[in-house]
Amino acid sequence: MANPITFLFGYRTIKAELGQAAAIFNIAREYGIVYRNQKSDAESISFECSLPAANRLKKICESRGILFISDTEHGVPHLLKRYRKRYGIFVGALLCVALIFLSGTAVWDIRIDGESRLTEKQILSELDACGLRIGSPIRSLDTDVIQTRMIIHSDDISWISINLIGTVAHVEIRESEPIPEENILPKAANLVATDDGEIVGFEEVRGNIVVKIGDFVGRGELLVSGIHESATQGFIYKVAQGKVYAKTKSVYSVDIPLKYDHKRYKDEVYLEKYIIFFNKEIKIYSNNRKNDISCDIIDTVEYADVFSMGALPFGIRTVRYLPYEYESAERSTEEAIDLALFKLRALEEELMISDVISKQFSGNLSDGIYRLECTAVSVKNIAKQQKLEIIP
Amino acid sequence: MNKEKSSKHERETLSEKIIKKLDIPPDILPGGTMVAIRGRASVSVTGSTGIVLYTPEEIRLSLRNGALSVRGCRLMCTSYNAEELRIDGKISSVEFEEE
Repeated sequence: MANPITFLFGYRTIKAELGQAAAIFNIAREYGIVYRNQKSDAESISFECSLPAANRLKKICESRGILFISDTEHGVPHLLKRYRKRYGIFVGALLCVALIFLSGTAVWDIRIDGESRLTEKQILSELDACGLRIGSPIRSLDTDVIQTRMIIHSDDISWISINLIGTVAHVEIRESEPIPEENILPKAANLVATDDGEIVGFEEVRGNIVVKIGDFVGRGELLVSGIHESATQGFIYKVAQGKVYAKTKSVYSVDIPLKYDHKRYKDEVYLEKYIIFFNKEIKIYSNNRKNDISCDIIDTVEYADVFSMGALPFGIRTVRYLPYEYESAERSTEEAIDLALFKLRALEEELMISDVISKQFSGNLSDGIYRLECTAVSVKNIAKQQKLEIIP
Repeated sequence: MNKEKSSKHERETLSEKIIKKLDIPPDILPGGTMVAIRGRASVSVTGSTGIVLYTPEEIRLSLRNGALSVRGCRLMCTSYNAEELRIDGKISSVEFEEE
């Protein structure tokens, strides 16, 4: 089988008597004629040459009285010669190339991600109104403009990102959160403490402050009042606002068992293959053995990219199932301490404990579980708005 | 007569003596031949002046000072240019022949 380049430019397969082989190879060497795929049997030899090389070799051999048994042409030039009268093939090939080229110039598929309350149909309709639809020419699309239009146009979308990957538009949205009733500004509200602590400062406070720096307050205790008593107007109701900082103590802990289950992957991998055609997927094959076992799943999608024109709306989706099983393992106390410290840091981030003044750790091992406890003193805003019910 | 001829072949020539004394690799001299055998599957020969016989069982090459016979089965001359000739197949023997 000739390589694609050889096939493109054409080649000849020359067959000659075995007795002439030595003379032919000596001529090839003398005139620098390159041959390849040489084969021989008990009576003949054959080899391949490029078209110019074969013509030259034939001429020289004939002048020296060496005749070939056969000399056949192969490759694209030969096919063009052979089928030159069949215009339908050329028209079909041209149409095929044109279709492939044209298919890369328009949006063929829109994939939406991140929707929860809105339906795909609603989002597609909004996108259509803003200038993105299936069939839109890629060159004329300005994704930044469409994104801005979408945010202005739709009250339900707070953020949108449009990524054009080849002919597929990947749209990611974040829907606007509905305003909860409790967040609707009240007519009057107090600020109360969310935690126990010692007051250390105030920031941008509006209202009647009822505590002072150095006071110890308990959870739920009033910090800033929304009621102001005026000698002339009686009671005036306001919405107390601002931040009240207090030194608070937080206690949190993590438990690390010394005995645990360790995930061990097996050697086999089960595959599932799909052909993607626009937004349709056709399963090619699947292995049912994965159904009964625990697996980690790696899902990859590769779109076709003909002549580097960008991804076309068809490709292959491969889902790899990596089966695993749990086996019992035991960690040392040192390993448990390291892991506990790591988890404690993650917990601090989760609890949003910042501006820490001091930390105190204590650890103990009992019943095969290592417990690491941290007592942190930090400064934080403990003020929380509490709506005031005004009964007229 | 034959005895005289064989003793002549067995005697070292002056050029061979000089090459030996100066420790010069013989293949770098004009007319030098180098034969490289890779396992039983390939032989590369530099310094050959042409192919004398070509069959799947034997390929005989002419050298400047003799001939070289490569024997085996399914022998093929896969590459042949001014510098090097390569023979692939199942090689059973490589033999130098005197002029």
